[in-house]
Amino acid sequence: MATERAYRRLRTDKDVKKLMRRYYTKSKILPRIPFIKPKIAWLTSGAPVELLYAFDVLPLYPENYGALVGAAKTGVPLCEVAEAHGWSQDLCSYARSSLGSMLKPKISPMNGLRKPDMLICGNNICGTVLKWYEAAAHYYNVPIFVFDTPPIRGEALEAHQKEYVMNQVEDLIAFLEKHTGKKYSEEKLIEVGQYSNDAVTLWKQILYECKAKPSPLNCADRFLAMAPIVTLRGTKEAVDFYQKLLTEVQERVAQGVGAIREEKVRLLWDNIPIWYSLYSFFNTLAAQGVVFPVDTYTHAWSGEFGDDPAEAIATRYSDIYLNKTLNHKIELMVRLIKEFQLDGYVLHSDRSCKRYSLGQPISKKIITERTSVPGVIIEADMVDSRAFSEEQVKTRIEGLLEMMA
Amino acid sequence: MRSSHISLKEAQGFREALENPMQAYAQLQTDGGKPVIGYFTDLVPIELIHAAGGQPSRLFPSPKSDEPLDSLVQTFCCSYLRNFLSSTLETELKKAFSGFVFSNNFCDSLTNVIDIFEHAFPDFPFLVLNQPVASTNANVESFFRAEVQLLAERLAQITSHQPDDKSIQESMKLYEGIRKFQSELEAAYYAHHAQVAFSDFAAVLAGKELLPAEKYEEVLGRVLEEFQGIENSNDTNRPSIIITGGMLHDLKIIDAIEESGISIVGELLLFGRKDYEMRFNYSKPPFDALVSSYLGKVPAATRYDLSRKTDRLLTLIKEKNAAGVIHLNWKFCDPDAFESVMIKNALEKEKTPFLMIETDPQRSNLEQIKTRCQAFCEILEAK
Repeated sequence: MATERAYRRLRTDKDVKKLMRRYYTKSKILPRIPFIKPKIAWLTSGAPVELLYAFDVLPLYPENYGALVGAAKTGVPLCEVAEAHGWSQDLCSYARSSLGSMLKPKISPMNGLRKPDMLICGNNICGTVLKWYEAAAHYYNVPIFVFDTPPIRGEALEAHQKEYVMNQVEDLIAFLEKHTGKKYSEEKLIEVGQYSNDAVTLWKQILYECKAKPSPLNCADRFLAMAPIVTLRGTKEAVDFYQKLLTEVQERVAQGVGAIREEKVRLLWDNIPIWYSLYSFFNTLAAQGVVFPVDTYTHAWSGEFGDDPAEAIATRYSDIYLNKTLNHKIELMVRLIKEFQLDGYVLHSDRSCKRYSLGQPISKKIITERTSVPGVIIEADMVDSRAFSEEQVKTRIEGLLEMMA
Repeated sequence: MRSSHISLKEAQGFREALENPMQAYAQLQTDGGKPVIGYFTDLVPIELIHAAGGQPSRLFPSPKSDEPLDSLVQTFCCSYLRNFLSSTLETELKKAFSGFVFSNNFCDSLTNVIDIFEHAFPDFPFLVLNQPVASTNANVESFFRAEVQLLAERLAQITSHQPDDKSIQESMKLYEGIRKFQSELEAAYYAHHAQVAFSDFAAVLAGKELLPAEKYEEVLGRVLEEFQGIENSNDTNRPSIIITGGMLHDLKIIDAIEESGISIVGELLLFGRKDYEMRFNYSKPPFDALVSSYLGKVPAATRYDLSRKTDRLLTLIKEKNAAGVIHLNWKFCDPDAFESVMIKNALEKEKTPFLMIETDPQRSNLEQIKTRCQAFCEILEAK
């Protein structure tokens, strides 16, 4: 008799896979069709993609591709290519695998990302992207736009900081006009902005449905389902997909069906996933009744497109989890632990992501003081499996579960 | 330094101070008569700190510091900043400093370390200066001017004195005088680089952070006099190089390079030429002048615009007739680690040999560095 799986697959898993396959296929085929031939931009996950869609630019995300590289377990050979060209093993593995993939596309999934016509780099997620994109701009000899969003130390940007970011939105529009040969249309941006709003609203609804017991989604479900909110934010496809996913999630909640067969322990996940171990990590824990109804990584998108697109872009793309202080991160995790009624938390100390990880020992102490639930820090890397010791991580998680028993 | 080098008298005190900078800051706080304000990074306008009645002192790492940091931060944080946290935990901080000015939006490690510091020292005063990363334009200048003006207002929280246009301009003139002196010193060093160790020159440059500005000017005068007494004979066969990267003050690393037989004829480090080549335009209002000069510096690795750095480096290589470049990088400093490869690639096109040295404030790989420098020296000699 076949053993029943500890987790339940979503029907919409197939849709997201199909959607992403189509997205990457389009990026390979469309630039070859003379009458269409869209401009290709590489951009960071925190860059204002709505503007690019408003200019009919096809956006590609090296970070999303990095996740794909990690999940395909091709991170190590690609990182090694970059290292052989002098890039330090201490650098971000998204950056290293991306540089490796640029140097050796033949050993990369889908033969690498399509060569960009331009680069759009937003530093609201980290400073690493600045140098990574600068290296890519040199390699491909293409123009780059740096979208600089000062870190927020209070609740919001100060007036002069907001003005600085808003002026850059104007500069970015001029940059796109120059490099696409198209005129800016506010009407089109508002239309794209509406799709973006709709997708973000649906995504947030989906995330908050996981307050239900049992949780309708586990971490791996959300990490897979987040791909369109990153890459297709501002398109109708993203809205349609999230509408379908929300329906399925609400069905699960209504029927009391959880993401895993038997939910015993509810934990929070902090940081980027360990992509090469995504399913084995979460599904092994699922077999022990451990579910992750919430994480900080997929909660990154918020904010509304209002009447003033420059103002909306400045606010939305500054007010980002990683662009705020450690206190803000702690506040969010404390709130999520309480709201989602969690039993504990796992902080992934990701060697590749200093902005996300540094200071987690402080977070751990304060979160436990304020929530009375235990937590654990596990050390790994999102793409480079050489920095991951499965046994060590397993021991730490087991220790956490024993504390909760 | 090599045994054949003539030792600069004034450099020796700074060499010792740099081995235990926390003690040097404490002495400055006691003897200097002004509140010492420690700062990171190259875009912090020290003239403002001085005009507000403070003594600006750049934060040097402490080679002997080894306070464990497990409860605060992970091991893959920039080694320089880990060392800063470690040394502040070991020190009676208020004896050494009255406050800090941290640059934000500089690098990921520093952005996070500001938060970590706030948790470790909840009552210790510090100010944050947000800096731009993009290339300079009118919007960037306007943003940075507003940040610098805010810093000026907030400095009074530490020094109890609000700087005004007049005091800022006086401080600008004082530090510009020092920078001109340092430029003269660099010319004197270059004329005598066969006889004088670069590490001595670097120690004197670093002294700016360890003495009140007025006293430091006097020291520079004495060092220049000392140079006048040294016979000029640069007929050396030793291969000459330029050093780039983040460190200037780590004299043991610089000594290791020189002991390998290499002669250092110039630098393009974070604090050195990039700073002392800066001049102000006094026809502009003080804040405008400060902002345009600071943003006009050859950018740190943390900012976008590598070509400004490589262009300056290639010019410098020609000016100094250098045969190669050694890039110095702190362990886990991502911006410099990225930039070292981009500089290497730019130099390869010019067929200029390049060596990247990575270390930490404790110089845990000093012996390995010596071996690599010797090998690099042989490559340069064989050219």
